[in-house]
Amino acid sequence: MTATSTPSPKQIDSSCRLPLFTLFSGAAVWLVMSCVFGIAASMTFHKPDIFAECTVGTYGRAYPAWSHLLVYGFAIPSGLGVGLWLLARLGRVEVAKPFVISIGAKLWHAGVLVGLVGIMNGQTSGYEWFELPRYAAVILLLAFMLMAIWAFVTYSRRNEESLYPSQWFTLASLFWFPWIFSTTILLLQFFPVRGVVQSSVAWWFAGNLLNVWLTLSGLAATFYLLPKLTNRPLQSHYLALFVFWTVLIFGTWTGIPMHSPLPAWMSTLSSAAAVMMIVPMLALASVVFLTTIGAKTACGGGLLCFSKFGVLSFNLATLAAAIAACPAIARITDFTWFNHGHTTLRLYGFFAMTMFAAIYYILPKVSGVEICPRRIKGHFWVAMPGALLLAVPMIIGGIKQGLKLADMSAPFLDSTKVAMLGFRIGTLGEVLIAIGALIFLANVLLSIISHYRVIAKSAIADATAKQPTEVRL
Amino acid sequence: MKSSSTIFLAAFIALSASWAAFVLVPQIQLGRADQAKTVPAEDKYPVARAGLAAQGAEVYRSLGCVYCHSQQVGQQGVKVEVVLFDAGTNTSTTLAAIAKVNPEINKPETITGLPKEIARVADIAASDALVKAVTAVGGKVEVNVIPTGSDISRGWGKRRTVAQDYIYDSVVQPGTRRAGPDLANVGSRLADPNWQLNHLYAPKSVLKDSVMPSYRFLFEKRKIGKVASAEALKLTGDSAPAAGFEIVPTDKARQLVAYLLSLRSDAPLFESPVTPPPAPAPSTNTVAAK
Amino acid sequence: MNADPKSSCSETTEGEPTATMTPMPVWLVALMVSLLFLSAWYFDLYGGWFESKVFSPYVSVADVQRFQPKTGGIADTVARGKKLFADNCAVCHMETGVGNPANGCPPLIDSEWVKSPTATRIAMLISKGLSGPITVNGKVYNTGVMLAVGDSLPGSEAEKAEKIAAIATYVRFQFGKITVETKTAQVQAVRESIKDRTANFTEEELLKAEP
Repeated sequence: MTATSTPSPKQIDSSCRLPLFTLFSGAAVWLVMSCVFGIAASMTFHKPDIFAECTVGTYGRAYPAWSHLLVYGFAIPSGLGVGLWLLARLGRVEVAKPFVISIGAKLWHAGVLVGLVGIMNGQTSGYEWFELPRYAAVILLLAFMLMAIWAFVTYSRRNEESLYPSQWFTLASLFWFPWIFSTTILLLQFFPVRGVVQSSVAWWFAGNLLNVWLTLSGLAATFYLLPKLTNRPLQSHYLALFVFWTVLIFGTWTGIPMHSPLPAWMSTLSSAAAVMMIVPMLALASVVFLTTIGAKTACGGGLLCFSKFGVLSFNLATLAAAIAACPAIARITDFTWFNHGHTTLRLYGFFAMTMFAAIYYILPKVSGVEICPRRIKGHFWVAMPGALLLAVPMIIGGIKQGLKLADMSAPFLDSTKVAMLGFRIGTLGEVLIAIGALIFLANVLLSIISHYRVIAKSAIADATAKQPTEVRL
Repeated sequence: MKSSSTIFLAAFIALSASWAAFVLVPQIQLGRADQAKTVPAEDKYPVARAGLAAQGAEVYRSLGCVYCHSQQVGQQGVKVEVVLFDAGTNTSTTLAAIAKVNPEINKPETITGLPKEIARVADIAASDALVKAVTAVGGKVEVNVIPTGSDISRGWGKRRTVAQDYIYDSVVQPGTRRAGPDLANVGSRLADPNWQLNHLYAPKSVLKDSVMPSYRFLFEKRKIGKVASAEALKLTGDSAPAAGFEIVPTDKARQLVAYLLSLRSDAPLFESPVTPPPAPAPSTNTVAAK
Repeated sequence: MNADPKSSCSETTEGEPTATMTPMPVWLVALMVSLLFLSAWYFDLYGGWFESKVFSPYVSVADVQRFQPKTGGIADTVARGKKLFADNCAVCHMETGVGNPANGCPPLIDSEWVKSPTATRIAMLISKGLSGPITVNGKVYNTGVMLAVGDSLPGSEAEKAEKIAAIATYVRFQFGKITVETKTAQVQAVRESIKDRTANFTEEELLKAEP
């Protein structure tokens, strides 16, 4: 590869094609699958005995399958794909070894499948957000390293020396994941530490995955998309970097719940960090406000809508987490569905929506085939209410449940009953998200298929055009 | 490349700080924890699980029970109460002695209707003077350290759970949600294995409003042979099998129940003080019981 | 579907996004500093300063210490005696007190020797040991020799007496259901009266000492 001349955007996009097709199509398939398990899990709240004879559908299997597929199946591959494209585009350089990266992507998806089979067979690790058995975890780590190394090589071969904030976020996310993931595999699955140190490691991992990795990867896309979609410069470089620094410094300390069998200093530090996350939240809000205000672009259910809703969800989820970190509130919200509610908002509302925007933005450039705007709008108007209907009732139900739990005179079952309504509404949200996921899958697959159809057509055209000349000769 | 090294250095410093705090330091502080002595009885605690119960822990993990059940007791505060059992022969002297320490309880009715709580004090040191005063005149008092909080008043435990309770668990599953009740002390709360088995098979048969799914796949429905199995569940009503059939727990069900019954974390520890229940009367049957 | 893949992208009109260099707003930095200060204050109040033995709601080791329960009375002594018994006596009498009849070790459970009204005999027995057979609950055990465990305990005379008292308290509590504590002073008096003796006692001598 001669890096003497700067490749055109078109050349860059086509160098990304193979890895991005693999990453995005796999991610879309896993998202649909995770919705299936999510719906199965929430069926338990309507009819507890529905899976009494069937191990696979029980809540204790369907729930980990849902979270495994959502995080490892959908979130990480799509975040990686978007990050790879950003590194290539912003560095004005073709992706290094796209074929190797696409092998890494296939390996990753194979690892997710192996993990899913393991979970279904009852080999769940038993740690939340780290459900996969160790043989699957090792595959995922190798696959990630394979992709991250060539993504980094792509970055280091860049022709554009000055850095845009999105590159900071992407690079840190490439560095972050292997560290937290390998530490967790080693200390939980190969050389398990003793007693509650396991919980500490698992919570540290979950905090870093959900509050740092997803944020880094998601905001990399947001900071690229907002100026492009509004056709205005990002306001400003320093604010964006301030978000970067504060997410890194404070986000990494979150994760340990207030109520845990760990010494007081750990949960105290962690809840202080959750409150400190208000700082990057406000900084992000200012970036978005200053960048988009006065922009002539209407939102109208398009990409900007996805992106803005993502930022809004991020801010709401971060704010909810910060409020729940105050000791007086934690007394009520801990052990309820409140925390799960804002985590769901972070996953579906912030990360997934931002990724949808980024993928809908990137995919037409890479495949050369536009996606019909109506299908994108349709996706937004299903996915947005879906995310809200899933997360908000759970947050409200969690508060009600917590008030009953804290009330010493209320029988325990009351607390479950008051939360039940939230779950039942949540099923509707889950269904809407599933419909959205199907539209997303259709959009991604159609885009990829039409790319190859166009190529095939032109190849046939070429061939038929050439044949007569040969005959004539 | 100056910026790239800044990015990696920043990420490295930030992550290694939290790594040190939440991975390295806990390992140093708690990773080598061994059996500790209970306070004040100095028994060794905890005891490792063996046999069925250890296998049951794997069943518990594999079924994902942790997504609905926590295994940790919370605590909001602690109180020290002084209970008067016997005012002695000369009640007026006792009353005077109490009054000297705590003038507020200088009322004749203080020493009627015993035993009853006569004072709530800030700590053990404060209770000592009262104990001394009353025992000096022949009375008998007891001092109780009682953790408080909604979990404890629900009977889910006597005290909060601490790191020491989990040293023999692997996978440790303290849980973060309570769609079902806490299980940290379910072994002492619901110690009847038959209740547990019935509850797993048909939760509503033992708890009318239960929302727990039933785990029928942990049981085997079979035709009664010549003699009904001794292990068969005693079920009535809707959950009972058709005549001529019986419901027998599988190995997994028995392991899971053994594990549940092994869950108890109420031994008094230094870091989670509580007055232990009165020592059981010494029994000559200890050998037979073992 | 509609076009040739190479011409549909309208990329030529757009460049990569740019960012303005507007400086950071001061209020955000000020907010961060004040939140950091609040966090530090909060940690100082509730964090227990990295102590591994401090769990909420306790805030320091001193705080935990304030609530350590004391049982006083017999329970402490029983606990101490239990440990001493395990170290010094259980090898023959077993931790459960069933003894080892095959080797001539009599049981302690419900033994009339253990349940005797005062602890004099048991203190003598522990101090100097026993030679020859002994009758327990109507059965003769050919003990051979029980060593002078008490005399061989480590420590000064006062410490020995204290330890023997603890063992006696435990044995009488656990195996004889006697809830009266054997006091150190009582053991000291017994030991004072037999301090010059080097030989083991016999059953006869012991029976004479406390009818």
